[in-house]
Amino acid sequence: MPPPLRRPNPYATLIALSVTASAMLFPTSTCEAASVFAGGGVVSEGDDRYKPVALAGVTFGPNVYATAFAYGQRFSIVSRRGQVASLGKQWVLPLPFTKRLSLGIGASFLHESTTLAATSTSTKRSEDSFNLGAHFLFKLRIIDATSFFVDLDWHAHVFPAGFSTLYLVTGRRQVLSLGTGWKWK
Amino acid sequence: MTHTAIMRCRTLSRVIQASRKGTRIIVLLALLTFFFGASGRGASEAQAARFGLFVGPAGFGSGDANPITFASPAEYEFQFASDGGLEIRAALIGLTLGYRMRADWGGYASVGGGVLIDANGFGAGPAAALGYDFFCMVLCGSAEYVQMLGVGSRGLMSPYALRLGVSLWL
Repeated sequence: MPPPLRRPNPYATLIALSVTASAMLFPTSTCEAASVFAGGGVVSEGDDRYKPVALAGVTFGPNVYATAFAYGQRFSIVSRRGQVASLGKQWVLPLPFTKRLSLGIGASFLHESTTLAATSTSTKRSEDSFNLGAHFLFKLRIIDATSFFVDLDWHAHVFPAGFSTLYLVTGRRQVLSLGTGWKWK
Repeated sequence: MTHTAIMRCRTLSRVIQASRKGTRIIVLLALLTFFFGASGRGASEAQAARFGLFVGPAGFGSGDANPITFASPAEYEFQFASDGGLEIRAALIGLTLGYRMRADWGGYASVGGGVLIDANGFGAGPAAALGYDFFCMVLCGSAEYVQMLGVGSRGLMSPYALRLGVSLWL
């Protein structure tokens, strides 16, 4: 029997919705009307050890973006899988020396599972965890051609780790990625 | 009680005491921000610079951020930000120089770089922050997320912190 799913923390939900609502207040930039992109990179989970991650996403409307990440590791009979989905809004930073740096703010949904494979003495076991948090994105557009682009992204998915103690206790899934995509004006 | 149980009780007691002390500090900061802020100058007036003290747990390469204790120097950060956009951050996890952009509704973002200290050594690299100012008059309350990325002798390091703070406009 699978373990019961844990509901997202209500405080986390409130924070994520507030952050997303705040993001929507930003003025729109002159980005493309829509784009699709994919890429790869590394993810770190609180320590400085980096694991490979794949990502894909779209941008649409007034600079709204949606990105999905997938990563995983296997240690003998133990395998870990993680998926993060983010939705937010991005705009070009008004820096005096470049217009290629963008900032994004949104909400992230995290699903992680740890599976213990079946052995001769035990059955397969799996545990899932879910969380809802904030997504912060810094994006540097390296190549900006007419219809395609190459981006260097710095994603930070910040999840509340617990509200039973004092404030601001968080867990982070940081992704450094290189991606390319197609855009429509 | 066994020795282990006694030690656990003592540790728990210390955490509770730190939490109570921390709660008092937060309430005091909030009250200062609210009362002094509300009776001060208007936020729309031209400001020259601001000095800020921020506190919040930091994650620096040894797992994610732990509950705040108010006793760890890594939890504190001093800030200077000028109207022209210059921003200086000094914390145990890093010393950075950056350019800050502000939105009319209170949000701000900054990008820059500097040197950092992580559980895995020293490094240098870019830094970025996102924040929100509230009750802004003479004093200004802020909540912000700051992160750094550094290349050091032991590889890539990326400390971060989520902090609350109070800034004084001058």
